[in-house]
Amino acid sequence: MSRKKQQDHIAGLLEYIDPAHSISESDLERSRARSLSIAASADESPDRNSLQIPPPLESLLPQGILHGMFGSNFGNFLKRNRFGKKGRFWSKRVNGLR
Amino acid sequence: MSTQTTRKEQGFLEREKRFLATHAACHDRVYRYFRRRTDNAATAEDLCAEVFRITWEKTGEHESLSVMVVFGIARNVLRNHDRSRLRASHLLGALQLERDVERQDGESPVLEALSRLGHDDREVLLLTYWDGFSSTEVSDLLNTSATAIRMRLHRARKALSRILESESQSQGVQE
Repeated sequence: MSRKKQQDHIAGLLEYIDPAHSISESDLERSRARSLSIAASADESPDRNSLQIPPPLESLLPQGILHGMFGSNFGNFLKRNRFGKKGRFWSKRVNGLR
Repeated sequence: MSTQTTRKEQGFLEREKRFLATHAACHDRVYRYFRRRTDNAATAEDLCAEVFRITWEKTGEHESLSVMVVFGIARNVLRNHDRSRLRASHLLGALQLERDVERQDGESPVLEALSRLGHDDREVLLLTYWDGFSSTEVSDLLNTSATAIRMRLHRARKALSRILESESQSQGVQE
């Protein structure tokens, strides 16, 4: 079978068995209305994604404790905790290891 | 204060307008996408509603979402659905197996051949022939190059016709 014929054959077969043929206009209409109403009520319900984000560490501990642990540069430590030089906690550690 | 409120309202109206435009452009295609890949209309409706809930959350005041982005969301929603269905079917165990066997008996040989194809090949075939995406659009959805998609499509067509041929030959021998 030539390439073009094979393409047409497969396209015809898949078109024939396409389950979307059984979709009626009323199905589409119902789904349209449902998706619109759910989207409209999405703002009223709490945002699921935002619920999964844990609150920042600073808000969980009293400020004095963090200050005692990392000095006043705790903000820097959070921002640069991986490779930053200016974070006081890390610079101490890294310099100590060197 | 009142200017701020008016600006907020205007922003909301803009966002709503953009969402409605996206909904009008994509809904029918997304619904068909789910109907082709799920068991019944109710599931397709649920998944479609979930896609547009996420679309609403992602629609900004200044930008609307393209068809490809909405289909990206649809793919993820379908993947989550399939995963949870698989978990549920593992739990149901033997009962579910019996049902699958019953359903496979009544399946058309083309559907059976499709199910024997690899996941990636099947996905490319169905996105092309059922959902009507071009190879560039499919490559966007699957994060590969258009050339790779064309190659995969060619191989998938070949594999499908090979399976169908071997099935018809084995049926001929049985008869």
